[in-house]
Amino acid sequence: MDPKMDSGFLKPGETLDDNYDVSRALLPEEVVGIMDQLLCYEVAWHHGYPLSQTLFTSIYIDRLLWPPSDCLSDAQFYRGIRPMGLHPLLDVLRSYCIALIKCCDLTIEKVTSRDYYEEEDFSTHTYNRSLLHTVPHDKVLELLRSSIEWLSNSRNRRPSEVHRTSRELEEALINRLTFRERMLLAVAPEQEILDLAAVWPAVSAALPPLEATHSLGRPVPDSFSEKIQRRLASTVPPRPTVDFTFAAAYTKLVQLCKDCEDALRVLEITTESPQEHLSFIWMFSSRKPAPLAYARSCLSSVFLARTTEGFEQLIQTDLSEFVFPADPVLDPVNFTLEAAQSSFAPQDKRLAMATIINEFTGRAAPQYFDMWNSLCQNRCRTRRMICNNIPFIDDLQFATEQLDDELHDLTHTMRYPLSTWVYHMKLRMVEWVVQLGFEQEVYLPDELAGMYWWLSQVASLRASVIEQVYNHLSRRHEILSNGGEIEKAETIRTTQAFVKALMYEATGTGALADAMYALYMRLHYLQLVPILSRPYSESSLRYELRMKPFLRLNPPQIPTFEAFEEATRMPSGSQDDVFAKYDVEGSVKEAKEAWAALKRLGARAAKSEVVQAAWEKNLASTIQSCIACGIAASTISNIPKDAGTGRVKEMFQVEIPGEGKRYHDWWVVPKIKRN
Amino acid sequence: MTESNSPATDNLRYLQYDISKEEEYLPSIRALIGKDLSEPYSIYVYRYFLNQWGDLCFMTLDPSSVLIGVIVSKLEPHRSGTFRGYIAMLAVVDKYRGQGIATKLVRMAIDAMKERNADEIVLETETDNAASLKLYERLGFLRSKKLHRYYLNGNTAYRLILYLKPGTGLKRPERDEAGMAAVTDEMYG
Ligand SMILES: CC(C)(COP(=O)(O)OP(=O)(O)OC[C@H]1O[C@@H](n2cnc3c(N)ncnc32)[C@H](O)[C@@H]1OP(=O)(O)O)[C@@H](O)C(=O)NCCC(=O)NCCS
Repeated sequence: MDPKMDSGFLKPGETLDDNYDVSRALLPEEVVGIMDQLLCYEVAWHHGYPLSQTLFTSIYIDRLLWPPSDCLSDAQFYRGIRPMGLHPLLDVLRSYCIALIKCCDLTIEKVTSRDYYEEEDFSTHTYNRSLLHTVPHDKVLELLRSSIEWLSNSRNRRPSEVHRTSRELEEALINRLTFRERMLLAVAPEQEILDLAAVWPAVSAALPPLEATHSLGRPVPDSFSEKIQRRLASTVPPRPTVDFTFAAAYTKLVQLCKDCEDALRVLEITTESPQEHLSFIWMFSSRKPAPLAYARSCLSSVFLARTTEGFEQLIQTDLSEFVFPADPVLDPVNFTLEAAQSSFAPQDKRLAMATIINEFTGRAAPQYFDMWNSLCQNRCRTRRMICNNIPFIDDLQFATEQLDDELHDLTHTMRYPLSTWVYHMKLRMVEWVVQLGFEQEVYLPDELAGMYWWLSQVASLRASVIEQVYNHLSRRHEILSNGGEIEKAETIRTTQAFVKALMYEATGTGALADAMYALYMRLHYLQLVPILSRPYSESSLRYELRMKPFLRLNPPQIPTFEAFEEATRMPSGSQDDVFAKYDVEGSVKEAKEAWAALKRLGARAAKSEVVQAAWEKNLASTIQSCIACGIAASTISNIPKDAGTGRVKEMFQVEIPGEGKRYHDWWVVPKIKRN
Repeated sequence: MTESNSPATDNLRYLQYDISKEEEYLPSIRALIGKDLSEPYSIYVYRYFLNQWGDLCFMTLDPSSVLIGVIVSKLEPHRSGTFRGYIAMLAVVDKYRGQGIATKLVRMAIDAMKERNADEIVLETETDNAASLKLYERLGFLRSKKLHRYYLNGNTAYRLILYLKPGTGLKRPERDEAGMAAVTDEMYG
């Protein structure tokens, strides 16, 4: 019998029961030790490991939950009548455990209220055990508070008798209960929106005393058992316990609290601006280490918790931030009009416009929601979900063109405003897929040139779309200011600044991608990037696989394979000619100018004010990438004309830095050293 | 790895699995693959593959017929509409590694799937399994996506894909085949 395979079976003489006595008296240092071990398991659980391999290995937790009890007073370490002389510290431990279980219950409730992926993000399996789901959390708070009070009183009652260390230990116990109380408050469901901002800082503030007093605890390993897994209703065989050290768990817990706190800063966005939210969500999900499922659900349960009408409204706002600022098309009055009773009466144009817009937002809402939803997932999921969404956005754009035609008959706005808005969103999504591909090291070194080439095309295309919108806004601004409509003109000015920010971002992306493409082509020419032989694959099939998410798009049509091959073929000719053709310097200059212009425009214009610091840091890293790209290019210039390939290879060391080792994860600038 | 401490590879035999050989080989296949897994598969997982697609499973035997390498795969219509090959398991005994044995096994599996008209071949491997990534990518596989915490032990994976035929990326689901293939992929991937 393979013991690894069959760990669900008992060894001869082994029983399912643990011989640990949960009613035995505990020393205060043991209670601290148990609480700290529970905390480690709680953090491991937050990291995606199942309860069975973490908190449910605690015999104390097990006794509280099994056999199941309906009310709080039944959830005891014993069942039935309270044993005589039960040590009061056991009540303290019980309060802590009950509150911990309630925290888990509320955590699961929050995470499952939005899309998440079982095990990948988070494990919600409770093996048929109710985590005190029916017990109101304020009852649990009362319990915690009474334990805190008991500890505080006992401290006051017998000051002289108490040994110094147990004084410290009592304090340590109070610290732990206080932390648990605040944690429970933070995950509690009925927080007033206004209080939300304060709950996580309060938890964070309760953490340092835990770390400071951890060494006072004494572990009680016997009170945890892997065997409990065998009694849990589960189809998988028992697996090893997941052990985080206290130090590791502590660091991760600090991070979790900070992430939750920052996630809720989304409430600082006082406008309904989708673009502000977009920036916020990107900055949040780009944090390192990546925010855990719970922290992400704090954000998504605020932002995504809207009705379909809510998303339709959001689309209107989004339109007003791009193609329709202060535009009669979105005039609120339009949406209050009633259809004329008689079909002979002329229809009100405003009503007709409102009907078109309603039809559009109704149609676009599911795809629009999907986009936001994908941005709230873990980064790997984000990329995959956007890949899946893109074809639907493509269909949407096609369907929207007809609505644009109808709209055009009613008002003198720009040509194709709605489909332009969709197109812009689609191009952005294509860019995200490629950039997340760089981030996640999906592309091998010899694919980088081709993927930056494609990115550059998409971003340039997007820049030209934005330019059309900008020109339209400029015309409207002129008309309105000439007509003395100052307020409307001002609204358009603000939107123009934002559209300009988008434009710089698109041109900066396009130019830097172009520079990266050119740099990698020069490196290929010098044979400094390893190329795989790939006996089992053809380049046309690899191109098809790479472009799979975009194969059917129209627009943009993907380049033909011939065009791709032409662009990425190993350059030949003299070094001067090749270096002139692949103009890294020119593109770096252009990129730097665009990003610098965005910086001057500032976070406010770019609708990133709430995340200004992160926005600036992101921009600075991008500019660093431009600089590094230029430096890489200059390192490989000045190669003696007569240097053969062999010598060139000896002259340089090229390292392609992995995720986290770059200035910016979207820009894989090679590190080149001249020997 | 130096020549001196790695066993010679010239007298190795490669052969296709056959269900009639279950008794002879299944225990050693399980042992070889189970050795490197944190979560061993049950015997049903092995039988699921070997009994249906034994001809897509290849073994390497040393001169005394001891199993030192194995590849286990399957081939069936996938819900995406493609005829999809899937490499489920691959392992080579420690001391024989780094000598191209796995590469040869993968080549045999690819050839067999090509022969049977596969559109594509896919597999997952942990993002930090350098040997595995290197050998597949050298043959022509590309990373198509990253799968966060894909394995039970919490490790993240890449999905690798090799297209064998043009037009594979444009194939679409055929309604009546939805579901099944996907489910088994999730179970045994
Ligand atoms: C993956 C495995 C099957 C490879 O077997 P193998 O016979 O050694 O493979 P090959 O010799 O054909 O090719 C492996 C290549 O990776 C290289 N390699 C091995 N370890 C490496 C490492 N840590 N970093 C980089 N390359 C490594 C080898 O040197 C060899 O390349 P080379 O031919 O250029 O020297 C074997 O390591 C194994 O059984 N691992 C455990 C099970 C496993 O991981 N299976 C794959 C899961 S899908």
